[in-house]
Amino acid sequence: MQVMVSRRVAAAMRAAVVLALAGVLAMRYLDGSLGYFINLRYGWLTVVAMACLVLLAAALLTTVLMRGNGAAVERVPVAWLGAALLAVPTLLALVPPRPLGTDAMTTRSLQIGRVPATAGLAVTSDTALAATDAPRTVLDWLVMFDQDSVGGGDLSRFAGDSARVRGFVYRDERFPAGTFMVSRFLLSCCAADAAPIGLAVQWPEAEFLEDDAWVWVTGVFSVETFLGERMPVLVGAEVTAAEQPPQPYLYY
Amino acid sequence: MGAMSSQHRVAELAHEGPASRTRHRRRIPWIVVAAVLVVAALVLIWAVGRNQSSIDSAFAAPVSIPDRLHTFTTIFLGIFIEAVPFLLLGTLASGFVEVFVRPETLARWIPRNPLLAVLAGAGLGIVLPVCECGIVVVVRRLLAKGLPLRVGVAFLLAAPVVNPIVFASTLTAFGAGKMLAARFILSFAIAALIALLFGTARPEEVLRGESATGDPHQGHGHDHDHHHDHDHHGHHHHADASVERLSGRIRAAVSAAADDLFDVGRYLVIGSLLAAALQALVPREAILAVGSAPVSSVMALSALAFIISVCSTVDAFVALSFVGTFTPASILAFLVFGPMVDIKSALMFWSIFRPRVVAYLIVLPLGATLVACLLLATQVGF
Repeated sequence: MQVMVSRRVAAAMRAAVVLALAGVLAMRYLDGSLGYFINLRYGWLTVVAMACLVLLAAALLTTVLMRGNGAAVERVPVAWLGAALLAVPTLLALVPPRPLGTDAMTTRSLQIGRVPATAGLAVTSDTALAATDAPRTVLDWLVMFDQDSVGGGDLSRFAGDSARVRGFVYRDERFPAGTFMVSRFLLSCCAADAAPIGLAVQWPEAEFLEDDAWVWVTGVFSVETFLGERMPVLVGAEVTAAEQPPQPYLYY
Repeated sequence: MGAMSSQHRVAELAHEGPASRTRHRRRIPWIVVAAVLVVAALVLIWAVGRNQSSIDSAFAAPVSIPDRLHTFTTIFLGIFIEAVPFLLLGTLASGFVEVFVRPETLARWIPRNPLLAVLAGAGLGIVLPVCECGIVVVVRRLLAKGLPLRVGVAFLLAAPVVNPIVFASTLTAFGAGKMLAARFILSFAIAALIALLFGTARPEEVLRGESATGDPHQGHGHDHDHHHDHDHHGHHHHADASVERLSGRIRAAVSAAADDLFDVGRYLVIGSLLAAALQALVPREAILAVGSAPVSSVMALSALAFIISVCSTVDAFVALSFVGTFTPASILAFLVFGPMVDIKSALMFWSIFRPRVVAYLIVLPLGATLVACLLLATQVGF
C-alpha cells in the first residue's frame, strides 16, 4: 500500500524519527545507563552521533520550514518500512535498561577461574598489576592466575591469599552443593562481545542465593578441583548483599 | 503536471544547489522480509520459553521470556549504539563526496599504467570514503564520465573497506591487531585482482546500455521518499549563481546524508536484530556446531554477510558478536566479503552491469575470499 504525502510531511516524519533517535541516545547518556550497552571508553562517540542526528534533523526541518521550494505541494510516497525499522531502536529503548545477567550466560561460554582467550592478556595484565592500592576485581585475580599458569606455576602460590570481590550470583546444575560463581561480564566494545567470567566460591548457603543478586564475597583462596579443573576457589567465604556498581561490566 | 513538475524542479535546484544526486534502487519486498523476521523472532522466543531445557544449554537454569527479551534488547542496543556514530559519519562523508567531488576531476588523476591505475582505484576510498551503500551510485557516475572500467571495479570492490571510516570502526571493534591488518590487505588485494581480470573487457560488454553510453538516469526505481533531485546532465551548471554558494552545497550534502541514513540505516537495524537474536536466542552449542569447523564457519559467515547486508562502516561491531564462537578466519570472511557484495549491493550492481557480469562480481569475490580465508586458517593458523 503506497501512501502519498507532501514532501514537507515526509521530511517532518523523518525529522521526528531522527530526533527520537537522538533523544534515546541522550537519555541513555544522561541517565548513566549507556555503560549497560557499550564500553564507556567510546561514550564520546555517542555524543558525536547525537550531534550528527541533530544536524540531519535540522536539514530535514529546513525542507519543512522553507517556503517556495515546492515541498508543500510535491507528493512523494512514504517509505514506511525504512522509517519503521529506524524507529525500532527507539521502541526497544523504552524497555527499562538493564545490564546483561545470568540469562545471557546460557548462550555463552563460562570462564570460571580463567580469562577468555579473546580478552587480550597483555592489556589485562598491565591493568591487574597496576591495581595494587584498590580492591582487586574478579578480572584482576583471573589475570594473575593466568600469568601464573603461563609461567609454569600450579596456582598454589595463591593458596591462603585473602580476597574481597563484588559480582553477581550464578549457579547451574553442574555446580556442587554449597558453591556458586561470583560473576562479572568482561567487555571490550559493546554488549555483543560480553564474556562472562567469575571465581568459584564455596558457601554453605549458596542454594539460597538468587541468581543475578549482587554480592560482596570475602574469603581465602584454596586450590581445589572445580568442575573438573584445578583452580583457586574462595573458601570460608563471607557473603553479603551488595549494590550493583554503576559500571556493572569490567573492561579490557 | 509537467509544467508544475518543472517549476518544482527549478525550485528544488534553487534550494539544493548543484548537489544534484542520482539514486538507483530496485523495489525490494521489504515488508515481506520484515514480516518473516518478526514471525521468526516470535516463534523462536516462544520455542525457547516453552522448551527451555532441550534447546538451551543442558546445565543452565530455565529463564523467563522477559529475561531473554532484556538480554536481546541489551545486545541489540549495544550493537546499534556503538555502530550508529560510524553510520552517521559514513553517510555525511558520502554526502559531501557526492556534492563536492567532481567525477571528471577524479578521472584525470588516475595513472595510465593499468596496474597502477587498478591500485589507485583500490585505494581511492582513502580520499573518497564511501561505503558499499553509496559506492554503486558514485562508480556509476565515474564510469559514465569515462573512468576506466578496471579502475571503477577496483574502486567498487575495495572502497567499502579501504577507507578511513571503516578503518576507525574496525580499529574500535577489534583493536590494532591482525584482524584489522588482514581485513584491509585482503580486501585491497582481492579487489585489485578482480579488477585486473576486467582489464581487457570493453565497457559495452560489461555495462548496461545506459551506463555504457553515459546516461545513468534510465531504468531505475525508487522505494523511498527522499528528495528527488536528479542530476540531469549539468543542470547545475545553469543554475542560479546563488546556489553555488558554499552554504547551499553544505545543506545539500547534509540532505544527501539524511537520505542515506534512511536508505542504509534499516540494514543496520536488521543486521543488529539478527546478531542480537543469534546471541540471545540460539543456544551456544548450536552455533558452535557450525562456527567451530574451519570450512563451514567461513561459508556460514560469508553467507550471513551477504544476507544481512550490514553497512561496512559498522559491520565490525556485528562481527564482534561472533568472536569466541566462530573461527577468526570466518569472521575475516564476514568482514571482507560482506562489504564487497551483499544483497543490497548486488541489486544495485544490476543497475550498472549486465547480468553475467553481476554474477562474476558475486562469485569472484566470494571464491577469492573463501580461498584466502581458508588458506589463512590452515596454513598460517589465523
